Amino acid sequence: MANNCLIIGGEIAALRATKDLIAYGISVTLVNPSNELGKISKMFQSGISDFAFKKNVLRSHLEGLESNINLNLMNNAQITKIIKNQYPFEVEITQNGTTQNHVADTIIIATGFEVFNAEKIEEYGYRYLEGVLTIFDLEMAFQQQKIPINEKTKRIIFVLCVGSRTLKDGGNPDCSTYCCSYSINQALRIKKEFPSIDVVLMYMDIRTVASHEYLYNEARKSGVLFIRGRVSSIERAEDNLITFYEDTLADSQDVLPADLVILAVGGVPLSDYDEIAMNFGVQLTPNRFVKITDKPVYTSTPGIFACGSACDGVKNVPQCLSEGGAAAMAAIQFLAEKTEK
Amino acid sequence: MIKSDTIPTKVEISSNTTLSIIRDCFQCGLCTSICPLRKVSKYNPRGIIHSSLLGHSLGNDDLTTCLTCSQCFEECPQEIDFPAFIRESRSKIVLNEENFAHNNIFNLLQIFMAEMTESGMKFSFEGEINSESSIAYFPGCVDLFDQFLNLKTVKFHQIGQSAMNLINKVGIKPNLLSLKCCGHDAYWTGDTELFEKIRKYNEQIIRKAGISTLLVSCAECYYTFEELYKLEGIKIQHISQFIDQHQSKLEFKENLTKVTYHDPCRLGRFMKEYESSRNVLKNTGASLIELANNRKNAICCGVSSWLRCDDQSRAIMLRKLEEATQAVGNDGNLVVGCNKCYAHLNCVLEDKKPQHEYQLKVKELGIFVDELSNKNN
Repeated sequence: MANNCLIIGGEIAALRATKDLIAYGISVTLVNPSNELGKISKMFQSGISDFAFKKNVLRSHLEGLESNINLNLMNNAQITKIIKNQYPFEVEITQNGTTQNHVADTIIIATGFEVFNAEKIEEYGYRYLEGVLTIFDLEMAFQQQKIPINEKTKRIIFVLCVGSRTLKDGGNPDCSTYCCSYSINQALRIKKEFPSIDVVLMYMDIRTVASHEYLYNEARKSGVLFIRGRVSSIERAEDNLITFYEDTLADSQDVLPADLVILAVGGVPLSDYDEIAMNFGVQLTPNRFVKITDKPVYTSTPGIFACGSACDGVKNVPQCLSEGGAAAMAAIQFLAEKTEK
Repeated sequence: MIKSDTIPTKVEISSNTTLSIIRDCFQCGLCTSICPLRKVSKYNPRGIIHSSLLGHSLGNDDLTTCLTCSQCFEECPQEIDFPAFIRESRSKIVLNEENFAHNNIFNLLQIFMAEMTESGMKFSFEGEINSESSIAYFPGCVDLFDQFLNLKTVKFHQIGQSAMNLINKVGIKPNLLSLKCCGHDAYWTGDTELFEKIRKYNEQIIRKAGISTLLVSCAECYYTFEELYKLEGIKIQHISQFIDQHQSKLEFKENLTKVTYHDPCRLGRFMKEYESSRNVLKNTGASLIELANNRKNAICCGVSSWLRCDDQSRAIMLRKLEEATQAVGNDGNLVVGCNKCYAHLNCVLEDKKPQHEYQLKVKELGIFVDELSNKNN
């Protein structure tokens, strides 16, 4: 009887699929390339970024998971070779330097995305200009209660679409879909906690998708200032930073000093995994995400499914959750068909 | 290394409370797209909001050009009250009166009336008056328009006379209140202090008269008494609502009159009263043909609070006359429910600056109805 599933990934979509499958009695091998589960997802789940979905949604997915007898969790593990790319599939898994062959009845690709490395945009000076952080640095700072804001902080500028909607610097030509809501939420939280600080967002378009428009509305009401224009460069002045941009709504080239500049970095496909996907015979989109066929979560290879930010493009948490559930359902259906035969 | 304060930035973030009116703006530009001024000039409400939020102070032209017609507020997806923003901003600077219409005589008269006279305006109309009546009538600044506008074809006094005739025709003898100008223009030019003075005086006269209904001819009076005075226990009625209410007591001559109706901003968009005038006009037996832009989409008459009457204003007025002529032709009537619209449109009709060929008649609602109704029934 066909009843085991290999899931590659360890973020919220992979966790959702895992939960649904083990609840159905299917044994899951979770090959997590990272050293812990939900490493990126937790950036969306706590600290100042708990807007994305229900609070603690990540924790509720992790609870009791590792001790489940139907789950074989492999952290720090990689798929290093594809031995057979059709049912029943066979792959080589490498974990901590040891390799093993593994047979799987069905496979779910849920590798998520990789945070864009802001160092690639030299003009923004990430890592060599003091005071230039990413939204995730800021989030971690809040989580660890090392908030980089003090009484001298007068202005914080958020720069949106960093590494997104660009053909340059190895960025993602698509929109990350989270950076507007994410940054606006952070901006709003800062404005509420420190009302005397000027909070400015430099944006190209505001795309607060799904139900997040309220964040944008609330931010404007609270006095967060929105300036439309892509920041061309950030420079260090004697006492703070200076951003250079064009205010496209005023047709005016301008500069604006700030004490902190927060880069809203987007996501790119995991660098190693597009090759693996291709070896499975799975087609990719032009932007190197797994391509989805006419049916949601179905890849071009029968028996291999994909969900979350690994396929099509970067997605927000609620969408990853529903796709994780859908992929589990598709896998169950596939296993049932194989069992009947 | 450069010092950041040596680099001039154009942004100056301010916590100015007036800005709270416009903070919701997300710069969609719908306001500018429908602004009647934008169709004839470079006036840009969206741009004004944007630069205000960036801390730029507004120029005199930005503030005096706006007609506060509220078409933008009517449509704004974020419900930003741009006219209120303009009004509050006006109250914070001294407006340059150089370009004001008719040498600013009407705003000066308002100040004069509020500050230097002991009593309100005196009126004398033919008809029956009862100083004990629970209904009072106030015609507005009609006699002042006669004195200072000097139009040959229009007597503004007739607005009051026609209203008196109609009130008598339905069997009511009204009290005639000697109020000062309602203060609409003081309020909208941002002179809140002057407005308060006028309001206090008028409220005292209205209370003393012991009335329950105050009937007015002008849309601005109606809006001002109702919305800005907030007189508890006293019903404010526009002439259109009064006639509509007493419809059954009026009889009309048979006529083939063609008429179209201009919704004044203060009556329509501000007070949401669109039906009464139309009911009244239909009941006269005249055929009512709507303007292409009517009700909440009605285009302003072109002037507001006597702030400006320039080329842009004139262009808007001519557009209105063109729209009306397309509806009812050269021998039709354009009826308005506001003393001011009546003044501005007749002014451009008569002085032909710029030159035009429009021949239709612009009539005030009360006058129009009075002319078509039988003497007494």
